[in-house]
Amino acid sequence: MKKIVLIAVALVALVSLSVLVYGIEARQAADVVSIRVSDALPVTDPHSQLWSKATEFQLPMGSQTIIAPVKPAPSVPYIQVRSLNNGTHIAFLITWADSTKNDRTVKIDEFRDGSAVLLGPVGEMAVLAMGTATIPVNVLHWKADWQADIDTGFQGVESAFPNFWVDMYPNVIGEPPYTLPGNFSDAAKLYLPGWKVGNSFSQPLKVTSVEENRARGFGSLATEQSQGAIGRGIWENGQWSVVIARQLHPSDNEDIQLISGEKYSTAFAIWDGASGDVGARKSITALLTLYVQ
Amino acid sequence: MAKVYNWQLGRYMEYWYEEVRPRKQMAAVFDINKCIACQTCTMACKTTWTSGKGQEYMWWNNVETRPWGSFPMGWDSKLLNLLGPQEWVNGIYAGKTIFEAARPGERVLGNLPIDMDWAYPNRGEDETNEPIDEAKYYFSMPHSIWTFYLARVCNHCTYPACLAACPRTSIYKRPQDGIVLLDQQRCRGYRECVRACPYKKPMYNHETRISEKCLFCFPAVEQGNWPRCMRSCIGKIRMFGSIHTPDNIDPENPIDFLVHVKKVGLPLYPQFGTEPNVYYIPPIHVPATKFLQQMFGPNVQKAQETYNAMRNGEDPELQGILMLNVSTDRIFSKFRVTDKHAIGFDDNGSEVVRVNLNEPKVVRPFYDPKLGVYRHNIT
Repeated sequence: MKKIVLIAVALVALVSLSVLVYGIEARQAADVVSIRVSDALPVTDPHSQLWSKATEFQLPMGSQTIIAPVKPAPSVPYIQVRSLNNGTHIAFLITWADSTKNDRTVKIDEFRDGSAVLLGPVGEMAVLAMGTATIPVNVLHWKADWQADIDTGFQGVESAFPNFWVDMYPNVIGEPPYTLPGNFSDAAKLYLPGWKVGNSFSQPLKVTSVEENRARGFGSLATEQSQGAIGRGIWENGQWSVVIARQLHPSDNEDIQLISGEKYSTAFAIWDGASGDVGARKSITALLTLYVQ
Repeated sequence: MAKVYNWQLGRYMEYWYEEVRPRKQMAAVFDINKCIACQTCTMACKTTWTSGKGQEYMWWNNVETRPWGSFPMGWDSKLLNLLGPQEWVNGIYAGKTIFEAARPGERVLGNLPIDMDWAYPNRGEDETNEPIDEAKYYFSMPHSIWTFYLARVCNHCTYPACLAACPRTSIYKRPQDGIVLLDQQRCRGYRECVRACPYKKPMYNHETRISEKCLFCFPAVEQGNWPRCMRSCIGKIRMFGSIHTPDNIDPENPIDFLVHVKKVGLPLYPQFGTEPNVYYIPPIHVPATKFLQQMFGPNVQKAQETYNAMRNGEDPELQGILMLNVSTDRIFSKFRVTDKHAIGFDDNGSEVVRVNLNEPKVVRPFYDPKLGVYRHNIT
């Protein structure tokens, strides 16, 4: 029954989207164009002068009402997107207004700011439904708290509760305050199950602020085995500027290959932590076409 | 939404998934009349499962004092306010469940507690419903001034709200025992389960940034043993075992006997619609007013009458099964009561435990001439 409901919802969404997409297709060749340059891409520098070579696309944001839980109204009215590629890598610069910086998810009611790029084959309406069993999609997800972990060190309990104190934890090493990962032996990790089983959200040492995911339909999003995406986000003066980058031709077979001169389906999502955005509670663009120059 | 049957409501209701009951459903009955809030269960759970960093505030098992205590603060009153006044008509729930009352675009009616809500696990401890006055309120039953202790764990519901709310299907209900688990690899910390669970038993780990929940000690259950909180209960308030649906009752099954045959074990807030699988024998010293009826449904008074009859010696079988509470670590699926003993049997019919129906009474003289000592306060 659940499957039938999901398929029905997806079909309704796809029919309405197809009308929308047909209109866009008729208007222009592509909604977002990735400009080819010969330089090294500014994959961790949202303020690089090189971004001036990319065309800026202003994309209206909409609500997420395809699947529950919904986000009835978008947190931001629009975002700006630029894209560059150099034959080996592709990078997106996403900027949007956000009056609050939400880069900690330690407390129960703290949610992160974030942005994501969805990539899938062109002409497939199922892409906005996060793909299907036979049409997987890739999602590159930048997270503000992961960025903060990298920029300032892992944010543990003590970052949210400065007066926090504890005498000991099982199998912990050293003296209080015990911090991850240094004071925690393999035996101590047993008491942090998310870390122990390898959940990417629970790893105290983040090597990237961008998580590569694959999805085959609503609710199926999964961290890819091979992680190669990089990026960086900077919040200044009420605005996030976030770079999300990956290889055009990754060697792992979970990623869609991006070939120069070809078009792809794409969509962008924004999470506003201050609004409680998380998971499906997000602002999204329509399904767009991406042209890789 | 699918239509599923909830026997605790006496009707079909809406749920996110179709009705698929587990092959076996583990359950428990807590006798509130015996609980002294010693928190031994709480600490047994804490030291077993939640002593890691990021779990400091977690109490998968907690004991709160009613009417004022609650962990997290106001977990039930907040949801009852959201749900609004609802009614039972002739034993059938005529109101809306948290699934049926879900707002458009949401799967469940819920709310997300903030950190401060979890900061007062002992709030209201031992506080009575009204200030104690000069009147000897304890001279008659039920008492006009009262308090009682409510031990709580995950209810491993037949229709879990946490499971329905998780958009990633990170939460699943095991077909072999009905235990509801949260996959630590799939969870992405959305906290939809924390928001949706009416009993607030999924909890967010500060350090791993994903959610966790009570496991019903499934590794112990898989080996035929009771969960840690259950077997450590020094007040012997708990009975643990499997439960059947009302159309498939085994009267020799301890939980079936307490819940379906004697109907003294009542679900906690059945109107929420999750068909919880931890049952409570309501306190007999508390008047069966709207407070208790709201908490345990419309059969509170009948359950109290049955329990009182047992106390008057009119129901040795009920007395016997309650004597078997926390009498062994081993799960037993059948019981029998003789003139002298209550006996528990496993699935193979082998005797697991035997207890006296009445403990032998020994009265020692105040003065022991043999030892030449006086005994004070010793029986």
